[in-house]
Amino acid sequence: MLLIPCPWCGPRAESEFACGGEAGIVRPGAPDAVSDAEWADYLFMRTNHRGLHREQWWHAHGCRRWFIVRRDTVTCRIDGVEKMGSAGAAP
Amino acid sequence: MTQPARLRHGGRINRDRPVAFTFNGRQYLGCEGDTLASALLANGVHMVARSWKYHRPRGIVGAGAEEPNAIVQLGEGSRTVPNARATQVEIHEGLIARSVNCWPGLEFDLLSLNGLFSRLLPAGFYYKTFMWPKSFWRHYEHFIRKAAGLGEAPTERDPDYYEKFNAHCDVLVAGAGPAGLTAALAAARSGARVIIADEQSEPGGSLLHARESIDGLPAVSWLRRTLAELAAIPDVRVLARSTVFGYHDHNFLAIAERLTDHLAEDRRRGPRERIWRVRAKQVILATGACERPLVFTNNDRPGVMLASAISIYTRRYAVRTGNNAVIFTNNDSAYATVLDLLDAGVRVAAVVDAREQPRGPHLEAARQRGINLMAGSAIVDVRGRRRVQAAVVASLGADANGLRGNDTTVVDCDLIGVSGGHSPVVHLYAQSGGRPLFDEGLAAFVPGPAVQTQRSVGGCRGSFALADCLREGYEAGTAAARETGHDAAATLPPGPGTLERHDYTLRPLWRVPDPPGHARGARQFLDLQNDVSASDVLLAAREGYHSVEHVKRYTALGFGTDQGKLGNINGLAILAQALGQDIAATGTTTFRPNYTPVTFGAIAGRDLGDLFEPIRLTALHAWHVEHGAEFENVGQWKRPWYYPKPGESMHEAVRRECHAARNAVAMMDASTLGKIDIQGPDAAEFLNRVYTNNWHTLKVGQCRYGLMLREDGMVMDDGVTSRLGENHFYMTTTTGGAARVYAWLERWLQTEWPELKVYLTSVTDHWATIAVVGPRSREVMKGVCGDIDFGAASFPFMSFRDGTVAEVAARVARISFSGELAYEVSVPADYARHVWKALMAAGAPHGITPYGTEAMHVLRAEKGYIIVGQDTDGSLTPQDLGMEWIVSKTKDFIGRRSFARADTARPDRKQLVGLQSADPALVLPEGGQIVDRPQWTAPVQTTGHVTSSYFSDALGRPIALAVLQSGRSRIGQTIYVTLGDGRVAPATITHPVFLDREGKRQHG
Amino acid sequence: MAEILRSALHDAAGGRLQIEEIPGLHYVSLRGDPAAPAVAGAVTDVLKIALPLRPNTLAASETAKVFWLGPEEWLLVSLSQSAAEIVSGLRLSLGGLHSAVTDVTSGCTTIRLRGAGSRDVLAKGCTLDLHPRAFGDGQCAQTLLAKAPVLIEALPATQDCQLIVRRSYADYLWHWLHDASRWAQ
Ligand SMILES: [Zn+2]
Repeated sequence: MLLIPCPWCGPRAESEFACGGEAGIVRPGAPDAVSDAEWADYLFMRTNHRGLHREQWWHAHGCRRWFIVRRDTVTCRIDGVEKMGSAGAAP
Repeated sequence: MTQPARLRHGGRINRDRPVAFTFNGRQYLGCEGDTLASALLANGVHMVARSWKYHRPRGIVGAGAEEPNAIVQLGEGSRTVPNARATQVEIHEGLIARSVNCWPGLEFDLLSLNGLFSRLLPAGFYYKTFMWPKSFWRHYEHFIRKAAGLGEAPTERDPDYYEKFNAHCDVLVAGAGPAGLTAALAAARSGARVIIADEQSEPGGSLLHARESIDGLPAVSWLRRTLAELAAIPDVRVLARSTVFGYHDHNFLAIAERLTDHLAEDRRRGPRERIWRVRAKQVILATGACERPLVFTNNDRPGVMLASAISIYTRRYAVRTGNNAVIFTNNDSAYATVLDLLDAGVRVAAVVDAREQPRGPHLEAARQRGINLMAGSAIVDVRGRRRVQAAVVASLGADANGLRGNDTTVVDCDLIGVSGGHSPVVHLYAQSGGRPLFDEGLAAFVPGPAVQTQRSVGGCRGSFALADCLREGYEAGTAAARETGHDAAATLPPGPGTLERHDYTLRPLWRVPDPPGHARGARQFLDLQNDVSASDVLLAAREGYHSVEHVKRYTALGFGTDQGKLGNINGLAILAQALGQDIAATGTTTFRPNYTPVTFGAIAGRDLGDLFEPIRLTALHAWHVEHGAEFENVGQWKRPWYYPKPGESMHEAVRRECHAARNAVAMMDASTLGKIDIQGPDAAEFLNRVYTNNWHTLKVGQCRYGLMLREDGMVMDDGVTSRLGENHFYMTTTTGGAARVYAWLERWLQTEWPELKVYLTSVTDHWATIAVVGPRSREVMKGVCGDIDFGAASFPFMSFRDGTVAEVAARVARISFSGELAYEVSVPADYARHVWKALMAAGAPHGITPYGTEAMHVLRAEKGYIIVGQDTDGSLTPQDLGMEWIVSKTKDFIGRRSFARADTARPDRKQLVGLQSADPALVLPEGGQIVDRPQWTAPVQTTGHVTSSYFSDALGRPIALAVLQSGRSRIGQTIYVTLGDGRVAPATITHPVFLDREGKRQHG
Repeated sequence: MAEILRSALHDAAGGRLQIEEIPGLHYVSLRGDPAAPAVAGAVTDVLKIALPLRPNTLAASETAKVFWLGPEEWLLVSLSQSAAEIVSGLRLSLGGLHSAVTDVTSGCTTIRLRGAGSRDVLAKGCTLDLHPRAFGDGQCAQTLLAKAPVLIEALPATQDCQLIVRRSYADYLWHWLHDASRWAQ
């Protein structure tokens, strides 16, 4: 069970959180202006990265904040966390 | 004493406390402190099992977790335990144990006659049996399962109590041998919070049988002093009978603590086992090393034991394991066993040492006692069947792959102690994510770099000398404590005194050459539990299996309950040699949790029965119970399903409840709906984005139904939202979707639309909601509420009013999920019971009837109202459901763009329809698949399925909802619903609204 | 406010552990921007308590407590003032500032555990480090106890703790606590 450092509450057990998947997925600003393929890419396609990966997590049973975790998908080592909207943090 | 092989003196057993136990139906006496294995040996019992494939007699080999043969079934009935290791079972008064590997009996074994058949069962037997036609397996399975001799699981419910405990510490130490103890001591002295766990009945590990002194004290005295010091330090926990069985991510480790198994049944109190879930800042692994066998012909005969096990039985348990021993070794450690045997008065007929020029401190000590040392030699064969009778010794050639000539010497003996070196127990290190490395000098896999904040010390790191263990442990304990901010080093007294170090010299010997005239590797056993011999590995290599993982599965090497703790390494080495590559390149199989088996009871803990999942109750639950409701689980909630009167069937009760709702008045507890309070200047805009319809136009005091989609355009939830104020809304969600919707809304607010000024607050538990339904509901409401005008025009459908209901401030909404004139009364849950009873009283003259979820389903299905999650499954759009009317064409919302995708625009998508069964008495089965023709054979293309199906009281016949390909264009056609037993039932496709399609009743 | 649980007091482990419901408290949820002085000001106006801004902490007076729940969320618990008074007082004080004040009194109750074994009982179902050094005076935490969401408050200078639980989970947690304290030391 991972120990996830919530940027507000500090390190907490994984059971308090829900994972929201890959971070940085940009929602097309004008959905009608993109092709079906581009829309499907936004909806379904994820990098499935091996190594350091930015992902959204929700502290469901704590402060109820969404934030970003940088986690190595091979070792599960957590490199750091970012609050939503902090510098350079595309959600 | 009736224990013929019990030594008169020494050991840690209590001779004053005899313990009676039963093994294979015979009564024996042991002593308090004995394991089942030591007690059996004290009684002269060596042969304890038959091997599973060849049914060869087998004896006790080890003294710990590595034991492959002495596998027993404990107890009877509901408390029986399969596959326990006799070497780890503490005896207690009344213990009953039997061998698992001896069907039909240990002494007379029918199957051993089939030893002749052994050529039928070479390596790959299992594998080939699985791969070849499945029907083969059916024939073999019964025979193999029975003969394989695994234990039997209890068939009754487990009567014991198991618990879990979450613990945190600065330093967790796995293993309380010399290295673990000094690690814990140093960390504890530094002020760190320490947990040290050891799998044995008492801490100490090798100190419990060591010959050495520490700080001038005998090892066991030093041990006693150290444990006393640890016990006096706060925040130190010493756990005995506790196996660290799993090392997971982020230094999360699991320990199984066995609390009562060692006690007689009438003395057991409290939990049987406790799982410790430990989050450690630092981990120190001190799991020691496991002695390695030597692989020679007939090395599986009872009486062939690990040398270290002989020492443990001799010094710790005061057991004479034989009268006339031969020791076979390739390193110095077995000479300590020689000394232990000599001390115990056992004759040592010979010491066979594979090394050309043996040396070492124990050897020198033994030499002074006078021994028959046969250097540069090996045992190549064993005489005797049920017990060792003699060892056949030959001279090894220069490279140890062959013999020097054909001369052999026969040495009579009844005990053979073997030491092929030591395998560090790297299991936990490997589980932590580390990769063991092969150390040529030690001829063993040792831990590589740490992956987590972890250190290995002592035997499990390849440091086998006691002095090294003590020193490494102390250093690691100090360092680990320092890294957690505990640095009391300046005031530390010195650690354990220094001991003389010695070099570990061994001559690698993975497989002893075959005796003259024998087939290669036959009956040279690597895995005693699975009867895997060296010849099996050689066969696998010849047949092209080169990966160690493949060879494992082909030969079953290491597949037993002992997971090959003894001979796996020999198998790898033999494979490497056969492939002409080095051992490092061959690698190991994966070390997975659990280190030793853990009971299912412990894994389940208290997550059983009513504690398995939270049972959520509404504020009205007690009333429902008092009035005889039957309950249904909806998510985690208990909801009244129906309220049977005495003698009434479910069908009758539900018809009565529906009848009251359609013809008079009925009421239901709707409190389980999810409720979210939404406030802020952008609240309406927010709703506009998450729902498909327009919310800016909703006026204060009005309610509106909303459909929520995922971004892929599929329906995810629905519910009614009321506008309480210009910037204030009150949303309801489905019962099961509440948590998901709340998380979803927060996600969009926090990650995508942080500019929106909206706050959400969950109020699900605060509000109780009561639905009052039926043509007489207005009369009932008037009876309990004087300050709301209930006129049809002044309080229209889909609006709400604040008022006072039965003296309680309430919100009354005119909402209907039944198609009837209906009101929903919401009050703070503290007042729910009072208001419910007032409504029941006011409704009594009108025949008010409480109804449950079943009647609710019938009523809504008659109207064609969907339940998200029942009539939808995450693959349906609003258009599929015939709900285009709720989808705005003038604004964007989550999911809208997806409607234009080719897949969502397909004309043959499944669509919601009604079904009318041709048989007026048949309620079609929910989940029933739909086929287009009455005659069909599998596989067949199904075109949809029944989602909801009930008997309608209002219509006097069954109704059903279904999703069906191109359904709306097929209304009037006949389809066939499979009944699950090969039959089908014809039904006509209809419009999904069965009753009052114009919606007159709810506007009444 | 009302008593939700059936029996108010449960003695376990020979009286060394007491589990009881504390009824009669009022609960109000507050959401707002901690950077806006009016938010802290409103709480001080109404409850005479300084708004806690540090995660996992609470601030208390003789008659009320304010728990930090999140960077923009607090739970106000009062013994004396009614939720209606607190709600109207806060709304008045906050004026037009974007915020949310919500009465959640009926949705909550409080369970107190007293006795040396209190935290060991919680540790059977809670992954937090409850050692007094890690979870001491003035600290609180939202977490899971068994499988239910709870807000745990450390009571000063003891092993004692209070749990604020959601109404619908109260019965489940009560049974779970009974069960977990069956063999409490
Ligand atoms: Zn948090």
